[in-house]
Amino acid sequence: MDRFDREIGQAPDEDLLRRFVDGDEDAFSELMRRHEDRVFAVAYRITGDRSEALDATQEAFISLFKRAKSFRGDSAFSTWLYRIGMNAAYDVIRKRRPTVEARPDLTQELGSSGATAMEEAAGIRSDVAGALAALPAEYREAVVMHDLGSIPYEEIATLTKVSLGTVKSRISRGRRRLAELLEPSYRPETSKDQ
Amino acid sequence: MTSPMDHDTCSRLLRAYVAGDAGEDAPAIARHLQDCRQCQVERAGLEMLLAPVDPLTEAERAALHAGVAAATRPPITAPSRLTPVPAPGGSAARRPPGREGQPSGPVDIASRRLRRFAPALSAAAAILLVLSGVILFQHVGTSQNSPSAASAKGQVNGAQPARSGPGAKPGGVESVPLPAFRAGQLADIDQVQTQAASLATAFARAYSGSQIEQLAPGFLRRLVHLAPLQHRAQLRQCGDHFLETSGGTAIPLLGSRTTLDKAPVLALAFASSSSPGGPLTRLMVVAWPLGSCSHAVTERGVAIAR
Repeated sequence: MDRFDREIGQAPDEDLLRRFVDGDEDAFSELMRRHEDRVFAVAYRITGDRSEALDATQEAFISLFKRAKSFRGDSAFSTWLYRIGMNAAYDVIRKRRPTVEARPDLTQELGSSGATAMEEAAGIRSDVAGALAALPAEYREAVVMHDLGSIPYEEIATLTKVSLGTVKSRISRGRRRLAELLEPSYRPETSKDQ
Repeated sequence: MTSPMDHDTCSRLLRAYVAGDAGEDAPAIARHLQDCRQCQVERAGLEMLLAPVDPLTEAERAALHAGVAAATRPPITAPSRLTPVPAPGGSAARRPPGREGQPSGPVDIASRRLRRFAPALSAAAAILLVLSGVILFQHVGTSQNSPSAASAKGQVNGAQPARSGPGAKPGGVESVPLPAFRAGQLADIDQVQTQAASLATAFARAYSGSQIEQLAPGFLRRLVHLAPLQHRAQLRQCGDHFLETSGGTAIPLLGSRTTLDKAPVLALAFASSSSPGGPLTRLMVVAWPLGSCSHAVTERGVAIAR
């Protein structure tokens, strides 16, 4: 490994971004190499489809390329990038034909009918992505931002304009809903405590 | 026993715990989890959400880099003479850490700028061919001269040889033939075969047998990407199956939703060689009933016109 490789390989993400903005394309390559698998994993968990996840990952890095100058350093670079990746994944989903995530009545169904409706909803795509799509939007948003995007609670509160307590509650409930959707033994009626 | 960790704190630390990054908090979280059903369920949901995802395959990685390069670079054109371009200071000098072990080789039609941008691709000439193909496809995909647009008008065009040889224009700009999907323009399997025959000739002139095995997965992925959503899963499955059984001797060139005896079918055309590494000599057109890859309803083989 020569000096160039050591420099670029050990540089923090934010330094690499600065170098890229200054014209060093190798810095962009290194950023992509570091983060492409993680961005893809986030997109795959959201879309549930490798091809769509690949499209979203591609769009995320194109967006990074074009918007690098707009990074202000308010959050970690990785947090910013994963947020771009999540948005790209949701853009891909929005381009699909109408499915469960496009149904405005789903949240009401879930709220009113409990586990049976949730089971039916999750059955549309019986995987994690399907269960994520079946979550009430505010739960899904909080879980995806924090658990997939590594965005801190406080930042989510600011971004979504709700209190910190609400963010905590949404994340906690969202995770439990996921478990309930994906594994019948976790549903409330089989729980001892709830 | 009273749990020393409160519920909110446990919930907040749970992600790190599931990821194995909770450090010194891990024992307290584990104790809290023993007593708290709510956190147990929460942990279960989190574990399902964060279940490992298979990493990108090399073909997917190559397609990703190619797609990003295509969208962020000026149009890339293939030089008519394919001479290796040595990187300053040696081929590995500017390769990021972690890529040192990847094979180096002569680089043909990608520009040096692209190689610097996607070092992983510059490592293998074959993968670069995929890259260049996708780049050119994406670059020309919106133009009237693209294989897609031309084929839609009933003329497969823009499929000039990428290698130097008969038909290469010295000093001129060339393009490489790329797979295309037709959703509805081809009325029946005979039209698919006619159009595939033109494309197969271009493929046979552009690609050597030794490139087939490496190019085929990327080309199939492009076909899947081009296909309407409802056909993608079948296209991927049938295409994978055909490529697998071909033993690295076939490359997909055309996909179509069409008809056979008025029944709807999904057709795929491949150019193939008689042996691994051999020249592309045969056009195969295979069709399956919509939604199934278990039994092909037709499989035609004809010689590729040179």
